[in-house]
Amino acid sequence: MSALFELADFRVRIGSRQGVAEIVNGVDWGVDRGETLAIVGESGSGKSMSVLSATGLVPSPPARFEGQARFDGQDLLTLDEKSRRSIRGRHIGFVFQEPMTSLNPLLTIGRQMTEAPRQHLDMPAEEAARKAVELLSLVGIPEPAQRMRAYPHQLSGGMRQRVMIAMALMCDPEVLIADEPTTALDVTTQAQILDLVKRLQERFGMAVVWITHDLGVVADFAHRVAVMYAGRIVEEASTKDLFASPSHPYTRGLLTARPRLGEPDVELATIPGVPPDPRRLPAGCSFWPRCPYRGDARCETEMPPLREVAPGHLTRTFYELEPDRGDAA
Amino acid sequence: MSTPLLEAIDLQVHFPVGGGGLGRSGKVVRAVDGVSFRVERGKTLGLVGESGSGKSTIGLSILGLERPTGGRVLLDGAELDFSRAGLRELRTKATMVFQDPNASLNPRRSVGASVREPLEIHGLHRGREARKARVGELLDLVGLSTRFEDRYPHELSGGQRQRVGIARALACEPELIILDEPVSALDVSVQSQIMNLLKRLQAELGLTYLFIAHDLAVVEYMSHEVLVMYVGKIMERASRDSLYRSPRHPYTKALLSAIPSAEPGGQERERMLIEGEIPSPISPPSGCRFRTRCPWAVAECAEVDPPLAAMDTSDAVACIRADEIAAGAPPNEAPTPPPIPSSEARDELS
Repeated sequence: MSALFELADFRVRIGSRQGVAEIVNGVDWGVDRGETLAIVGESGSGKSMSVLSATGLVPSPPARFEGQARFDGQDLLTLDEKSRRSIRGRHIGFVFQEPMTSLNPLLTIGRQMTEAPRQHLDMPAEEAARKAVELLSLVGIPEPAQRMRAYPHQLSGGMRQRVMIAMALMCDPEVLIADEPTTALDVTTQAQILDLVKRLQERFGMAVVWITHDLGVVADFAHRVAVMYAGRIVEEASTKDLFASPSHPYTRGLLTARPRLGEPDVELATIPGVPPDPRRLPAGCSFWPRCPYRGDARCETEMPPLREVAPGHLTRTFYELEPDRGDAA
Repeated sequence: MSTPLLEAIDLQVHFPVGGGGLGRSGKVVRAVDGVSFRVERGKTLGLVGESGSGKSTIGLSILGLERPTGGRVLLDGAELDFSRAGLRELRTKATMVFQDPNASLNPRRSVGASVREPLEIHGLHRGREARKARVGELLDLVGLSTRFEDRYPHELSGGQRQRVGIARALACEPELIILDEPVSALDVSVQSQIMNLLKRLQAELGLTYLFIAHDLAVVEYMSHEVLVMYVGKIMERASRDSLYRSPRHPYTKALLSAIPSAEPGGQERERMLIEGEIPSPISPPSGCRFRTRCPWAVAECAEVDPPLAAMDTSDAVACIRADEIAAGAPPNEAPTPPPIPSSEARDELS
């Protein structure tokens, strides 16, 4: 298969005086037009690093990359920075968690929005400004023409995130990468932003890569989910299959560790311990020291391969878990 | 009825803003604007609301970290005394656990020294040996062993740091602990460890909690009773089960409906997306503060500031249309999302 944007055996290592950190350890996935892939993991799982490195947003050195990151068949890793920047600017849009830190506080919204199309598409200033106003209106910014002259601090957090989304769409990207875009927002605003991106995708048909720590956010939004742990995908499936029959002990742990609305008396499962230090990954399966199922002798010495348990449903464990998901405690 | 451990009566916390300080501009942030509640001994009152709702300010004002500008707070039936000696005594009875254990622990102090500090300040467990024993006991209580005594915050994970924060809060054997977003900075797998720890400590030590959080599922898991706050006021107060099963205030309904469903297809439940943003607490809307975003708002909502029912009824809602809504009154016209142009129109755009 060849997807619009895909990673193949992608690896990221960062050397430091304390040793080499193995941040991303062989990740494969692909996402096509009109599709949303959610990459879910806790802090340090490599979810953001895999995506940001693949698009050239992580400086190398100190980071070292291996494998392939292909956009439309072209390996971004083998390109020089100038060509990579041009692909990124024209075809890949980004929305980050903190709109305040990703917007330049000294430049007006209008100036920041028109920069990319002017640089990458040679769009005349007036046309870029007209397009910016239309996109601002599209993402629900009231009085968009006036907002073009506003500075980021004059907008609320939710409004800034809408501006970021509009900005990411300026060059009509084929891929939208969203890195925890709703984590800093209030729940009613988060619902508005999720709804907005969903509708934009339905209309424009972009591929969306949604990076998040919260499985709940992606449940009725993503088509596929890849769960990452210690730099590897431990389970990947359609969203429906992942929630209906999670087959990796870590995914089960994540699902049963979150309180579910309306079920406050179900005691939460806990995953004991903490994720491993990427400079000292355990031999064998990285999840083994915290795994409630461990017992197979291979766990300690062998990394389980990612195998298919059902069509399109991949898992990285030696165990065949019972379909019941409440037993992970 | 026994005396509640904590009672707030018409609590107000207003801050002057702008105009070169001292409130010369005459503008006032009404962070907490007339809030009354009770927390029974051994129970957890959940305080939920979005940013700017005033929920954290309530927590701070109970410890005297922000001075109330009006109303009363009673701890164990006695009015809070904000004199130096009064505050000192207060802080052995009521303590706080903060959101970010990185910011609330001194990076230059070992875990042992941090946990020992409140004992030193309040002169408890005097003597080297006694203090050492108490520190060991506290670390044990929160699931850290004495091995951690000599470690420094940067050597700990987020969850371990939060355990140290809890051990510090427990040091003086308080009756009340104010938990301000204690799990929101933690990863999911660690959140459940901390929530289960807090529940176990409550059961073992008979603690009373004021649990402040924005995450409704977390509040449901932790609380016996819940207050829903919006721009400095209580919109709804109810026992946990009745609040989550049959929310009565439109804002509570909106909050619950905004939570992403935990499962695919869950969105088929009734969805209510409210528009706009939280108004400024400097110039809140007249009448009901939620009316500018409320799908049920009528003209009268701009005139009447809806009262919350008296303290003695257990559930209360601050909405003049609550009964009508409960009886099935439909919302005003559903908010229409801004139109997204067709792909042809989009081609014209580019």
